[in-house]
Amino acid sequence: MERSLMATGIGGQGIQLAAQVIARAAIADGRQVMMFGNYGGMMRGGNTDATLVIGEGPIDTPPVIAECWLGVAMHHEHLAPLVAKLTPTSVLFVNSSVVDAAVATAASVVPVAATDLAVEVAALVSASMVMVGAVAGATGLLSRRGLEAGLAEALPSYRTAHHEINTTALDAGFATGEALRADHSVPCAWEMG
Amino acid sequence: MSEPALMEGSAAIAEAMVVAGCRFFAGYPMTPFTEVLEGMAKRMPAVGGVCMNAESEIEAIGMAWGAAATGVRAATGSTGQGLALMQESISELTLARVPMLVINMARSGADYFQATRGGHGDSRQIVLAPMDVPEAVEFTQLGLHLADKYRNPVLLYGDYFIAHTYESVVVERRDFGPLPDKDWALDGTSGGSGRAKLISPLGEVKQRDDVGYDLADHHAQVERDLVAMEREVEPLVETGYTDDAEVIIVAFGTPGKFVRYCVRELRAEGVRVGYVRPITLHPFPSEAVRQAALGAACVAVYENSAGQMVDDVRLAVLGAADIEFIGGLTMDSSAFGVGPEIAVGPIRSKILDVCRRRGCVTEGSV
Repeated sequence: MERSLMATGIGGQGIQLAAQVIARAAIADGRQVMMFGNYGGMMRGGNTDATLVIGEGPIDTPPVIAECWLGVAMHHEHLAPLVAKLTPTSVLFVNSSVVDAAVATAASVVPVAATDLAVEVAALVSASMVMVGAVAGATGLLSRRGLEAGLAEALPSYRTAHHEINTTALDAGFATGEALRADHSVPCAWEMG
Repeated sequence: MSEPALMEGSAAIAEAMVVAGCRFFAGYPMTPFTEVLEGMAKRMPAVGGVCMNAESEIEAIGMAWGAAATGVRAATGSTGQGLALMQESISELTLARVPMLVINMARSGADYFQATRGGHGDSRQIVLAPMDVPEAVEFTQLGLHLADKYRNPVLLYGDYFIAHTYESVVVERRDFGPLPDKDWALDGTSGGSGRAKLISPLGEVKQRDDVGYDLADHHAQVERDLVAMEREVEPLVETGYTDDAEVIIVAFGTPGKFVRYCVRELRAEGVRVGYVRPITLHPFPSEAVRQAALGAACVAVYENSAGQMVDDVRLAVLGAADIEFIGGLTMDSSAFGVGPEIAVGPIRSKILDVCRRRGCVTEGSV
């Protein structure tokens, strides 16, 4: 089984870091990963997206995914490529603190106030970590231990000072996700062994 | 490194060269080859190797030639544009019988002719075309091995996707079997022959008054070696669902991975379609293509180009089935070969269209 994901936002929100954390967490969980990041020359505020495929074995899906099982929308800008890959069975996690209108999609939408929660428990810049935690907590896509390992590996050496706020954000997101799992009908990523 | 790690394709290719014992690399930056060069620049000093950012592609392959002549495993690369500049040297390296891995991180599938037919004279090189990062890691090492085995350059044909996709990979040294001693390597000794060793496209014997170069002899010997190489190298190929297929799709490299994915989807929907993915573009897996074609009505070729490999498919099939070309060059605004048509949807439509026309789709099933 392979699970494909796509995350979009604007440059500076941490989409590429989030993708790195997810990819490395999945490897720590013993799965295989393919990841393709895409961003424009404008670092802050420009388009940025990342696609990931996580599988139990060698990845069969080619590097441009046709549709995604799970989407993450951190911002309403540059959302179109993600919406195009959603199907009625997809689930879309929306950063409801920022995204300013309902997303027109047949996919199930799960709102997470990621930016608000990040400001409350850690720092504004850690909103993407809140969202990664929420996705993992809600769907079981990544384990809590995997996320810890993923974050430790993904943070560049010059950002280790931010390890603590990112961990706090991941934890807060994970707890939110677990609560969502009870409230919403979010799908389970893997069959329980 | 035996644990899987997340690596960008370029870094994984560089690491594969390191574990395979490559200790000299030279290149000139050009996307999407640049990151391979950067990867080698980072890794070579730590393992006692040398990486040079040359002033041009021509200079880069010249540097790698010099290093390879001393017996060290050496490699270079560029995009197809840069390889065009290196082409004279690649052919002369064959004549000089110098092993080297030459990497083309191509900007599309349109360097097929260059890879399989490029260069002057009768020079030929093995060409390996991986479909993703794990295969690129394996074939980088295989390429260095085959280069040493046949004393000839080997081409690795990658692309933008392979260069920039991150995958979980294990990069560890692969053993492809024993290799002959490099007793020809220039080491400052005469090797007991009483003459200085020579690595040159003109031959291995220095010009002397009573002998002189005999290029006829030298060319004949190189030709015998190339013929032996081509007879001995088993073409690599992946096939799927070919037994009862009415339509066979042939594609190489990353497009081959897209085609395999689409064919699997269509098979699950009951369409009698199969695929052949040539891995060695030279020698071309003609027999596998022909076998797949024998029971089929049509062999359709998908390439990210105006159609180049389709010629080799025609030669392999020899009229046993109709041939169609269903590819086409698809470019992004930077011309890196990642246009909108390289996607599951458009490729699936093209395959389905051939299958409909050939009557192997039960209407309502897809």
